[in-house]
Amino acid sequence: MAANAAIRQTTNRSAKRKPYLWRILLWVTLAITTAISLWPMYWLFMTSITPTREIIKTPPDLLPINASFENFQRLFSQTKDYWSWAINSVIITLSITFFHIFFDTLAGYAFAKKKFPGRTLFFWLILSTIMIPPHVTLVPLYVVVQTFNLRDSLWAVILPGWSYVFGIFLMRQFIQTIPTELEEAGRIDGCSEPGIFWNIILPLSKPAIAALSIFTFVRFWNDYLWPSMVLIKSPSFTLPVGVANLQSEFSTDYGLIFSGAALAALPMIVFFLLFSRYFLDGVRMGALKG
Amino acid sequence: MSEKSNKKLSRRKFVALTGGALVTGGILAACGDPTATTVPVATTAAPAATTASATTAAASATTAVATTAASATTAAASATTAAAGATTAAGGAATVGNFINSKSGYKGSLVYWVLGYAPGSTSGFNKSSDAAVAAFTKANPDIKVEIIGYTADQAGFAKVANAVQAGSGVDVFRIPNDSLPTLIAQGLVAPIDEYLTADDKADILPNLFDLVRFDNKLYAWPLWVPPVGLYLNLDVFKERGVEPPKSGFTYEEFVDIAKKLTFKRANGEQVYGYSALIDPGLVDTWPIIFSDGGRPLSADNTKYTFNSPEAISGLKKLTDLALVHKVTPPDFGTQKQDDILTAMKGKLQAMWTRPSGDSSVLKTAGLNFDVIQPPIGKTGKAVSAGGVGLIAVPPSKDKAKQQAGMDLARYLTSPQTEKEIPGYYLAPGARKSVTVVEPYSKFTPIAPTAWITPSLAVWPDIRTLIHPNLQNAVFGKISAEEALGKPADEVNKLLAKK
Amino acid sequence: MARAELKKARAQNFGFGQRVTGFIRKYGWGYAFVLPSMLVFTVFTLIPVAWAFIISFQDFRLRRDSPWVGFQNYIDAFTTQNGVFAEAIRNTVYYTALTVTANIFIALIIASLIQPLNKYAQTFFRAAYYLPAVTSAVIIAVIWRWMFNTQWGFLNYLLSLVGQKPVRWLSDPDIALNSVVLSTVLTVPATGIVLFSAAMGSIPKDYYEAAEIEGAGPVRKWWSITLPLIKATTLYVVVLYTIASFEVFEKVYVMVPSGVGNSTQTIVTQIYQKVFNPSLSQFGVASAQAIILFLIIASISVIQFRFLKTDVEY
Repeated sequence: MAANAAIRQTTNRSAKRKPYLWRILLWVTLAITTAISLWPMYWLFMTSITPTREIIKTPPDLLPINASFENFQRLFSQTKDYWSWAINSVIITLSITFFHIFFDTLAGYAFAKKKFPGRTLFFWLILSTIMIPPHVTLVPLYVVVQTFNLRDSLWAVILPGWSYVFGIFLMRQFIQTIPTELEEAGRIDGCSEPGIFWNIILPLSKPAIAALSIFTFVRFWNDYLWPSMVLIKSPSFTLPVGVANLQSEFSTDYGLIFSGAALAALPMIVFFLLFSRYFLDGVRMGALKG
Repeated sequence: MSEKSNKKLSRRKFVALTGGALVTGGILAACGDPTATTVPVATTAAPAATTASATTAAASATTAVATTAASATTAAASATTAAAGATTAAGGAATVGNFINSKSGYKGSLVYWVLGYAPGSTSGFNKSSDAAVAAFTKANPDIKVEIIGYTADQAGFAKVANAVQAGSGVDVFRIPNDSLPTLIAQGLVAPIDEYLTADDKADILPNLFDLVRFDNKLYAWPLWVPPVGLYLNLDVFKERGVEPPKSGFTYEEFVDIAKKLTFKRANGEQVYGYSALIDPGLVDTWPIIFSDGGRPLSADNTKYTFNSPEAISGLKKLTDLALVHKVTPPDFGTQKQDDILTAMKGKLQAMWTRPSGDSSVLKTAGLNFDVIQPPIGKTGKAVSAGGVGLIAVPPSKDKAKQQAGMDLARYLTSPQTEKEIPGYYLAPGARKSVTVVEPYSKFTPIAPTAWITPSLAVWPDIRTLIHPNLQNAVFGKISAEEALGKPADEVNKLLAKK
Repeated sequence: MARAELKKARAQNFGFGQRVTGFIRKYGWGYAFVLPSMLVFTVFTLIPVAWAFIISFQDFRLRRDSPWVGFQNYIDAFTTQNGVFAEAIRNTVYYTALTVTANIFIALIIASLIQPLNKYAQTFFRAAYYLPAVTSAVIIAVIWRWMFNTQWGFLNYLLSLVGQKPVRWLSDPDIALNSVVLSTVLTVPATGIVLFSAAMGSIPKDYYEAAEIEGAGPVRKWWSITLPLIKATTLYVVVLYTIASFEVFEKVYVMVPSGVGNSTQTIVTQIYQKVFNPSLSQFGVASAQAIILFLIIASISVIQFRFLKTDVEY
């Protein structure tokens, strides 16, 4: 990268005289970084369709010339719980996302527009916990899960997921930008308070809701640490926990691991390709960490 | 009652919950609707969600099991003084009694946690566990048994301990002897004395009782004694025209052979003479460290002795393989089990020190291999290392259930299992009456030479302290002397605390 | 509004019951709307955080008495296991320093490079860089572990093409942590790029035009206009990446599970090991370590805010 900077500096000086050279260098740099960025994904999908005996050969194949679906066949015949993992991931992620879309918008609306005693205190409390690493609550939550015997229950993952407060903050910031006149107009038309929320605030918050739901979805779809602590039996695993387990397993079967991983990554990738605009908008709104 | 339908139900509940919330939204949407104004709908939605939660919660716990792997062997990886005479086919297979029928009168299900079990895995161990449990439930139609697999790492053991402590979800569990005392200290294991018959007492190898005796009570059913043996990848020997060694060969001969078997094939494949796993829960490389007479703790388990000159020269023998003789693969010290199994199956590794469980995998893979006693050092005596696999039952208020758990544990550690499911035992058995089959029988003569990981509550902490130092010594980062000297103070402190 | 005021005034003149009704009428909806969120927030964040502080001063046991031990857990965190936690902190700081610096630098350069492109090209590149970020860290780590494999890995294959000896990426204690750093650095910092390019896009064009009239070249413009004007974003991105780096876990846990000596221990892998101690007696120490992590993150964030503080708003 330092080289790029150097190239940039030297070429910029003569940019007017050598526009083509500068452009070529620009595109080469972008092409290389794009390749580096996408390489692991390519490698993942390539290996997932390469039989195990071909994977461990030197030199490795760079193109899927030995492509076959035998890894996937074995994945489904041997890893019987794979679909359970997928279904659990869907249930967990949807429950959490749905909660956040609905209740964070409600709370965000109240914090942005309503006045009530304690509002500042509540909001300050929420803000102050944003920087606390999730690992601080690991032990207490684990104790709660032990005490109420929620081990292996999807609720052990869903309930703490609901308290991910970033959404409230995001929605408040967004709803503050909605002109208060619109609500007033609704009140004059005889809308109830919930009616105003549903008919005016919710539709106008769509961009923020799109960002929030996408990021909540991705974050919890990929979550590993907490689910791996509280989900114990294989049929209650989520996809990342299952895949990590495939790999820590006694399986010598790299093909199996990669096909499982590729399949787990696929929905998010499709999701991203379909909605990339909303993703990128969302990042801009600051909905995502790291 | 099937748990599957239970789960489906919960999924339906989930859909209903989502739908309910949508309906709530619909109500909210009604502008000017008087009902909507009087009831704060948003708040009612929340309790609805919480009630549903209770039911679904139960639902997600579910069916069979999956996961992990890891070999009987890893389990075994632990263990204390020589389990002398472990097993051997010692005759009397004819006198196999009946262990399978439970007279507990218990109707219901038992959850059996199995170290390293992975459903769908092709390992012999999986199959025999399934088969044994199937036989038991067939003989006792009122009892259902669910198998849960767990990993042989810290997290796996902690999960069992947590589940037992939570008082549900574990009725029988298989555990290595060095992880048992922690659980006993927390009151999580039921004594077996009243369930142990005179026949059992006479049959089980007496020295194994010492490993499960605390305050004069016996706490678990000894299952097997998997010692570390030296696997020989015979095709690699043949390829290089090297005569496979026999039990009793020395470390010097071992190095010589390993050097000959470290070579590059014409097609560019690199073959290595020796490798083994180094992990906090394993003792795979310890026979070499022990070969000059060094041991981690004094005979009465009160003092750290791994910093003795004998132990240091033993560790040096191990590190020399990597640093001086260069017969180990570059990743030696951080390899995972799948790395080594892949190398063994691919005939890229000639020798491997490992307990008996993995021989089932190699056998299934059709590999041509033999197992002998690990090489002998300055003491001139054969030595190995290992642990004892145990099956334990947590205390339960339901006496019938506890009895049923004990009956299952007895059956799973009995000679009857092996008789009806040949190959059930993946290691020399803990009873005199158990005769194990090939290739596990190759470990039978090794078992009496094995140092067994101590049944000490602090042992898991001790081995965690020792482990990174062994790794660093193998990497050449610190000397053998530093590696074994470093943990001394803290280990002694731990031993004093006990 | 006036009616509500009137009602309020009236309510004040009457009894307690009416005052309550008035209060509810006035603020009821506000409370009703925040209630569900605040409820889960209180139960699953606020109380656990407070409880974690308490546990960190106890010899915490499940289902048993947990005696107070003062600062013993904080002392134990550093003194047991030959001080591995201190080593873990050093490793984490090392990892953070390298990856955050590299990530910010790369993100700035790439964002600047794609800035002059047309809208479609910009969107394409942002999407291409962002794609791996939607994949689970566990899966990314599985791929990297394979790429780093000494015998069959892709990186050693590349080295062999230029005649280099294989490197023990994940098994040499002097290299392993650097390999983890490398895998992070080679993952293009997509969030940073998107944020930087949004910030750069919102800088008014006339600033640049004015500079051009004064004869400034591209580098000069970049240095004197772009960088100062995106300082707020830079601060935000730095803090974001710093926090994420301090919390690194999945990557390390999947790539080097049993540690390479102790050379790849990080703060969170240490916490994880303490939570999952089979003796179930390390919860207090785990909590103490988590709180230490929080204090480190908080103080570094404060320093970064001070250091990069900016008054420029645009």
